Amino acid sequence: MNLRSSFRLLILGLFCILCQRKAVAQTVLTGIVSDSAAVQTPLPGSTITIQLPENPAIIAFSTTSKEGKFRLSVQNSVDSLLIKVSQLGYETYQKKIPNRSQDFTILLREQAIALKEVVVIPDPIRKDGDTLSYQVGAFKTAADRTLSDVIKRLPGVSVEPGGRIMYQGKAINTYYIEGLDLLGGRYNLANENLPVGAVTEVQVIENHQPIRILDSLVASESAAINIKLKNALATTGSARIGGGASPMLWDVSATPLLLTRKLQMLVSYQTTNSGNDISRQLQVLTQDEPLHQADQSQKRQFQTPTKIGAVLPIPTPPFSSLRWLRNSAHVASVNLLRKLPGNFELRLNISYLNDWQQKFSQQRTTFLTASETISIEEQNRIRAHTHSAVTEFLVRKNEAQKYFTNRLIIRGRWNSEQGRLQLSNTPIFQQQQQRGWSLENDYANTWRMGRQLFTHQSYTSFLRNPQSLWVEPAHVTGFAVDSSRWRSLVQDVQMITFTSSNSLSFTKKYGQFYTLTPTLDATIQYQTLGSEGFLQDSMRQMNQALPDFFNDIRWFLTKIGGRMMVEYRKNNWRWTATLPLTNYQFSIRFPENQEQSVNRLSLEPALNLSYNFSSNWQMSTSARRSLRFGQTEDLQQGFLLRNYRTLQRRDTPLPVSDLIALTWSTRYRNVLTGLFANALVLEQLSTNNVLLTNELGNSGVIVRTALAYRNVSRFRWLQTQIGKHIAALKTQVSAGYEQNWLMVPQRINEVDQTLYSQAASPFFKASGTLTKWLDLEYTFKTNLIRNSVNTIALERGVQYQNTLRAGIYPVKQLYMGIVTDFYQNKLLAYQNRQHFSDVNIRYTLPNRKIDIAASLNNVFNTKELVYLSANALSYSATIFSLRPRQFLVNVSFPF
Amino acid sequence: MKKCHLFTAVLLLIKFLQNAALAQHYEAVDALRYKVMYQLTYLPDSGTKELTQQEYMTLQIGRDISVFQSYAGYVKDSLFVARKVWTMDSFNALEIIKKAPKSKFNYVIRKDISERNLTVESQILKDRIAYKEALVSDWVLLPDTLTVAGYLCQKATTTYEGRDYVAWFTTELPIADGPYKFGGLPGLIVRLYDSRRHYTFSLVEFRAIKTNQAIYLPQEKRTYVAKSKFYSLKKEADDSFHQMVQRMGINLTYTVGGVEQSAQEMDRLREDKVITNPMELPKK
Repeated sequence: MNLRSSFRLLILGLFCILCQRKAVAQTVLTGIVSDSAAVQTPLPGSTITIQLPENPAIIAFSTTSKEGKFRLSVQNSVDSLLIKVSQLGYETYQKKIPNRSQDFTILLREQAIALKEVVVIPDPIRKDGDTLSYQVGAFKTAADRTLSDVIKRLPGVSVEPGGRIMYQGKAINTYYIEGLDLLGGRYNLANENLPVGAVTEVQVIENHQPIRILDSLVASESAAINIKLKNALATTGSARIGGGASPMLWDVSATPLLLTRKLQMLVSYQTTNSGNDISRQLQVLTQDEPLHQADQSQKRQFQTPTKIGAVLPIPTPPFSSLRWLRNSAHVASVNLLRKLPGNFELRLNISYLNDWQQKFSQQRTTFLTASETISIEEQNRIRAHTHSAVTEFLVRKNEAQKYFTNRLIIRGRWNSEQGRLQLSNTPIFQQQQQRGWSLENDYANTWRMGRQLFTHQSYTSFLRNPQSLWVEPAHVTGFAVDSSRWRSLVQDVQMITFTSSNSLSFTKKYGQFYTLTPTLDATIQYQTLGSEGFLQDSMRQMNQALPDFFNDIRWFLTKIGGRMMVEYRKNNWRWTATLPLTNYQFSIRFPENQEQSVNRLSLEPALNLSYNFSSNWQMSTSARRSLRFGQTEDLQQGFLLRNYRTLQRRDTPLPVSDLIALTWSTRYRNVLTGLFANALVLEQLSTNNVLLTNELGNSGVIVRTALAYRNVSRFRWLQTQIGKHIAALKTQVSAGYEQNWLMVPQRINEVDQTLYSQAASPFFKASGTLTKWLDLEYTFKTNLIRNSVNTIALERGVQYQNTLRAGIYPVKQLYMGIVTDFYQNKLLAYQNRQHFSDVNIRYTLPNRKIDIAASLNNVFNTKELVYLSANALSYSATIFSLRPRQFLVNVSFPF
Repeated sequence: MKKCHLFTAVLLLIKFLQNAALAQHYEAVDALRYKVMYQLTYLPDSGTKELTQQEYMTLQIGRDISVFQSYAGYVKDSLFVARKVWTMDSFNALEIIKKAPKSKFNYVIRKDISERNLTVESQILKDRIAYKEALVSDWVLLPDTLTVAGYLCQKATTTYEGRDYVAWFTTELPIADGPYKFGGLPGLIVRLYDSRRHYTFSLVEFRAIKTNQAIYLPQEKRTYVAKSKFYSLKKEADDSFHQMVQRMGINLTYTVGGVEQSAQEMDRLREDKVITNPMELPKK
């Protein structure tokens, strides 16, 4: 007995004396435990426990010695005790005994006893360093088929309508399948085709730096997603075949995924006219890696090249394309990644899209002027054909010691669009064509030299973007023509862009906490924009050139600069400062030897500060100044026809916006409680040297011009979201609020005015598995638009959107889903309610995992939907013509 | 993991030296009857709030003894046993070491419950050092009961090396064992944590082994030392690993990005995640 327990006994003794009470009797139990077999070998290590009768709690216990003997004492005044003797592999002995000291001889009978085994189901979310692992099983419902169905339900993760995955309000930077970046950002291909059953875990890697050599040197704020499959070496994927009416519908797709140790391959072919927008699966949803981030906006140009003249667009409705998209699309994609010796990775992504889309709408547009209200009504029918092919070839070595990558992207497109429009009984025909190709090469090489990290980057691109716009009748453009003679106005545009950008930087860690990256940059850019306009007669034979529409802009930019990036990390602090000093030299030539040159040296610093209060709670704030220069299309002496009722002629100095942006954000996540929250505030102040002016005609004709006049515009954006996973109820609840506020000075019809535009949208969402046979999801969202010009408040628009989804599983293989949307609009004269329902029934063939699904979309055959949209000049209520009621039967099978 | 993979190559080489080149043999020390998995949630650094980490630990229960170690260590040992590492070429051994998960707890606790004692052992380079200690079994039983991981458990408390512990044990599993150095209760400890919740062990799996399996440990001579010496050696290994290698007479050339580094420099650079909030607190 050690000192401690002696002391305890002493105290107990003292206590008894002091209380002058009858001391509790001490019962001493001794004995020997042996095997009941004839030999009666003593059983060491047997457990003897003493309980009070009818109470599971043990009050005393002991184990037998090597000789099988035990001795224990009990201090309690009850009459009887319960003694239990147990030993693994023997039957437990138990007996009620009188509470007095005694000696036992206990014989245990050998018996195989199965102990209750247990495997505790792993926590739905686990955290290991920077990695959060979500157990897919804990979040999926029986209705889920593809990975995207379950990803959007993970706490802290949200998916935008276009498929972009956001983690804590920030877009993810890489999407890995078993640790390899096969798709290069086109992750919808996997997300929407991988069967949910093939995936065990979705991992979110926070603060993920995709370039390993920069890890711990250059911090990243974005997260990556890694998909862990049940079988890391497998062939999986899904296929679907279906048809329906009306009109005649088809829906066919096959997406096999092959994974081996050295090779990953995903091939997909899909075709449909069911309204499913399969073209978005080819979109690159991630931003480039930090080494390639120079000129992000430049690069976006290559994905969707600028349209100088367009068919008057119809804003797309804010919900699932299945309800509104009249399409007929073919998508094919081949993605191959091969690991080579020496840690090289070879990747090839080829995709092809052929997509016909139709949109019908009636639009009521109200222009925002202080003096008068101009409203026009347009009936618009658009038929667009997108036809494009992209090939991307990448070689990469991504190691802790070396980073090398070269990516070549070749794109070709043959797009055309036709619009038939009715403007107060005037039929208007528009046709746009855009054909061209582009080439991009992106190279980066990072190596270590001594303790420094050197990076050489080179980006070269060439884009040819010829296009034409054809409007009939010509006079609707607002350009004065002799309409008895000339029927249509045609604009031809030639655009060429060549960019070459090179930089050299080195990264060094000073001491334990500082990382310094000085960079030298040189960029040259050559752009041309040539445009011609002419009139055609009704036979399309006679042409007359319009000198007012002639443009020939040759633009030459030399950008030379150096920047210093400092990063400091210590404990929970991290700050990054970037100090770029850049010399911009523009030389822009116009016809007749006119020239504009701009030479500007500017400092565009950025500071980012973040602090971790704990592993769960982080706060960061940043400030940045940057210059944004106008492009060729913002600067011209002749007219450009932007759409059938918008002409543009901006004969001003090169527009320069001096932007100051401040952001503040905070994130909280607690894995144990499943609580996720984030908030972001952005404030942006832009000082512009050019004021946009608009002349607005009565029929909605706009002539966009500009004036060299210094002005300031402001933008504020607030976003906050909170979500909670209630594991016990299998329920996720989230709520959020988003608001933006915009102040733009502009000049309309010679009157200076300030436009204030506000939009707010609170939302609430709850989803859960209520019983074994019922899943429910409810979303409530409000959109509030309010504009005012100077101090005159224009009427506001409100839209309420309620969605209820129910999944019912009457028997195991049968699923019935009902989606009901309820919209309520209040805007100007409009005030309406709309109501939709879709019903889905799915039967899964037992053992085969083959699904037979039937869906009836738009049960009430609701023909149209009204929604609101706004821009700096106008806001419009669009009555969008929806897909009619349709019935579709699908058979799909994972493999 | 982030900070240290600069040095991973070197570390691997050394781990390779310690495990493969020295041809570690394994021996079966007891028949394996039950396998228990605990999830350990711990706070490596008490200075920073809430930065907890997690790891899995295994308890292999045999007829006479039990072995408690990190799951990562267990996996590595199993790989070696399965592939008979001593007949394997060193390249394959290196592959195994590379693939095996890593743990921050590289001790092995071998308990003899009926003798109420235990041995803690750890590999430091080529030496396997060990010390003996008594089982932590001085429990105070409390009447509280709670169902944990599906077992009806009873509460017991004890104090060990600067921390007060609460254990929940179950008589449904009449095995007087538990995580770490704890045991001697009339049933298996299902959950154990200290009063400040810096270290929590939770049972996540209990399996009876029906086939013939054994508990394997490296077959190597243990050097028994005093407990204090054991920890001072461990600390030295943590702080000056490369210098220890050098002292062993192995002269390696360390290069970081092409620049030669001394062993001292390597040790200084090594930002290994040393646990500053150990389970056993130093005596004040």
